[in-house]
Amino acid sequence: MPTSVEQHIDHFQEHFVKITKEVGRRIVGNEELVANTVTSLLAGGHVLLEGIPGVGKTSLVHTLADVLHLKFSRIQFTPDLMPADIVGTNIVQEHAHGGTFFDFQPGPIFANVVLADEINRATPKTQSALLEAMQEMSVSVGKTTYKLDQPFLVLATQNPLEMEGTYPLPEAQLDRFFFKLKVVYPTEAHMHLIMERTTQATTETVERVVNAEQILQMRHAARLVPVAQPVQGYAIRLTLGSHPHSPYATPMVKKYVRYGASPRAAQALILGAKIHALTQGKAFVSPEDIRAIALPALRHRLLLNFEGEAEQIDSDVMVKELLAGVSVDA
Amino acid sequence: MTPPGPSGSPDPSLRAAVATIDRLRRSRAAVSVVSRFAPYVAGIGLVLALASRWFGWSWMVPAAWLAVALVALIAALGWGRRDLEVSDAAATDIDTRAGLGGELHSAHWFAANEAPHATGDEEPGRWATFHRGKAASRIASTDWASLYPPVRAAREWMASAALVAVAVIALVIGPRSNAAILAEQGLTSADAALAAREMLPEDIQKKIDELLAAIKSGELSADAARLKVDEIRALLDKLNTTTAEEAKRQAEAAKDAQPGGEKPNDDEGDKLTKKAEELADSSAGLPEDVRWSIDDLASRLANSDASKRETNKENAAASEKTGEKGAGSDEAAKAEMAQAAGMQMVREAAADAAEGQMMNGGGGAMGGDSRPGAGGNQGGNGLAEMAALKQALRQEMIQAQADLLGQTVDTEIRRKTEQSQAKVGFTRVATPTSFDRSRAALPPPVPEAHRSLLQRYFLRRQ
Repeated sequence: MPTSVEQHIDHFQEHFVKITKEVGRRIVGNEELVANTVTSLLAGGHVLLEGIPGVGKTSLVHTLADVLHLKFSRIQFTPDLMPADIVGTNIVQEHAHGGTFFDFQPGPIFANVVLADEINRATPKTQSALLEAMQEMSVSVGKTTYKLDQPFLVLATQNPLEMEGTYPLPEAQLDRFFFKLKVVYPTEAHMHLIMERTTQATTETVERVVNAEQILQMRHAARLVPVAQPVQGYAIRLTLGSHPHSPYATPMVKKYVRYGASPRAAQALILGAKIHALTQGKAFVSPEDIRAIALPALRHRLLLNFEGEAEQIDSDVMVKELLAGVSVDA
Repeated sequence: MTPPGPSGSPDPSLRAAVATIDRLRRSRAAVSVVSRFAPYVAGIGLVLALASRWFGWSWMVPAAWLAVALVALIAALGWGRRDLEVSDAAATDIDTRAGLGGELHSAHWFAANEAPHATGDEEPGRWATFHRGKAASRIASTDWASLYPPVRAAREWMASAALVAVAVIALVIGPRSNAAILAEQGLTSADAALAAREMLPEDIQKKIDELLAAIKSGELSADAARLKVDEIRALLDKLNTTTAEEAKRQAEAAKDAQPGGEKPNDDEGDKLTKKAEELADSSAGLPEDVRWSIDDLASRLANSDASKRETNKENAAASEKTGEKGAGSDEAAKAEMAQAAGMQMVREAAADAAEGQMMNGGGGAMGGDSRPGAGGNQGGNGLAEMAALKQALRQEMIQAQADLLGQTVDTEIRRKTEQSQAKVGFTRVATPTSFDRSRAALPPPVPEAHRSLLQRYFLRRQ
């Protein structure tokens, strides 16, 4: 257990590197994706992974669970999936001495790392059940509320191409994801590596490098990093600038955004920046740290207007413009 | 660098260190700016010095500019070094320059503010203190002198000094315009034109001297002397024309070049115009004494020529009779020439009037009447004619004065009016045409904006 600040930082940095390296043994490329996923885990947030089928979304989550020595579960979302299939349900049981009673059978949500595969294929009712659990970190069944184990991380995936028969997540629910990460198509060199690792008789095995307790310590350390008010002000200005009527708004935001990021986005910016700072071995947050995590923290929180939807504006472009337009100094 | 304060509390020493760096940064920037501007300031000083010298302005103009500029540049240097509270922007700038990755910027804020923390929780304070301590050690280990090196602007400073030196030299020995020189002597350009006009060009003066010397010594024949006189007269005529035109031009220029773009008052303008007109119109644009002398010499030469021809005729008749060639005729001509050459031209340059005075000698070395135009061999008749001429001119002037008063003018106008009774008739008048109402165009509609104004105008209130 680290005691000094320096020990905290070293401990954090060491474990972070271990996790990402170990995940990298199985997941080819996507270093930033892995780092951001771990950041989200350490911040206590959830991740929405977006990418076409077959790029390694599910593999990433599997590997992460293996490396983190955490309980893992997977839910394949389909249109007929019911909330009880996620959170669990009370079933009638018989006592040995006679008589019946309700026994709660926990659903797959009761795990540390939950993979919600193709979350947009389930109905909004089922989606809401999951998202409520994500937000409250607890599940209510009947009259009983069950706390979820910590750390609790939901990694939801969605396919941006096949939109038929899907139920796109409402903005309010999207906002509950700490980061939205895009899984990009691997490069040719990475494809060679993927072929070599996955088409042979043996598969790459990963070690469990950290446990739940260590993850909770890291979470605590991340929240201790001091943030100077001018730097915090920068994160706030970025958040406010995502609103079309804000004085910090950029021309694209004014033109294509109907509603900008919520205060939860500013929280994500600060918390993500703190973790980013610790991964760099720093005991302070700089504007650079905020810029480093601004894209995954803001891209899913911009609600486009009709014009933006019609012109299929990429929210990444708007966030980049925001980063270029909003000054570090007030 | 002093060690940071207690856990989480502000740290003035860190702020002082950042303020020192900021002062260094600002002073370097100020020196850089001043060194960049100094040559331009000195250049303007040089231009002002040259202009002052050329136009005859006071030397105080460039001197004042250089003094004010020097004070301003020194003030700018002092302004750059003044003590200031370091702003976040300045801290960011210093941080970026040193490549501290935001550490100085953040620590600078924590050096003035307590780290936000929950009651009883010492952890955030410990982290802030740790952060400040690390930042202080990094600030101490950074070579700020190499990050903000002294501004080396030797070329700029040398150029500025050279320009100032040239400006001072230009103030003393720079070129000056004629107007500036005249202004220094208290003269106007019209005065200068008059003075120039009174002076004969050197070549003409020399020719006249040579001619007189030749006539005096009797070396020059009458024909040659006449040719010389004609040549001199042509030169003088040319000079007349040039001088008159120049005078006119200068008078015009003097009129336009009144300070503040104001026209000269009527008296001054009239004076200048009158002077110019006198110069331009006067048939004797030359100094009168010179003109008289030349005319007189020419008439004498003509007379001597005529008398010579008569003498030659007589001599020819006598020689026809005697068969001897009359050598006396040449003698007579020479004597005549010598008499004519008895005239001497003496030019006295008066210091104030700048006018030449001519004395014409009469029949002998002692001379006779020295009045211009009245000398020579005219004797008593010439004086009488002059008196009559003077009387006639006087009469004419009186009449002219009367005309100016308006009597004659009025009479003349009235007389002309009375005589102007010519009748004019029109022989080719077009037949009257009837007005075709159908081809008439309607008046343009009144614009809505003007309607109310028109109504107010035509419909008067009862």
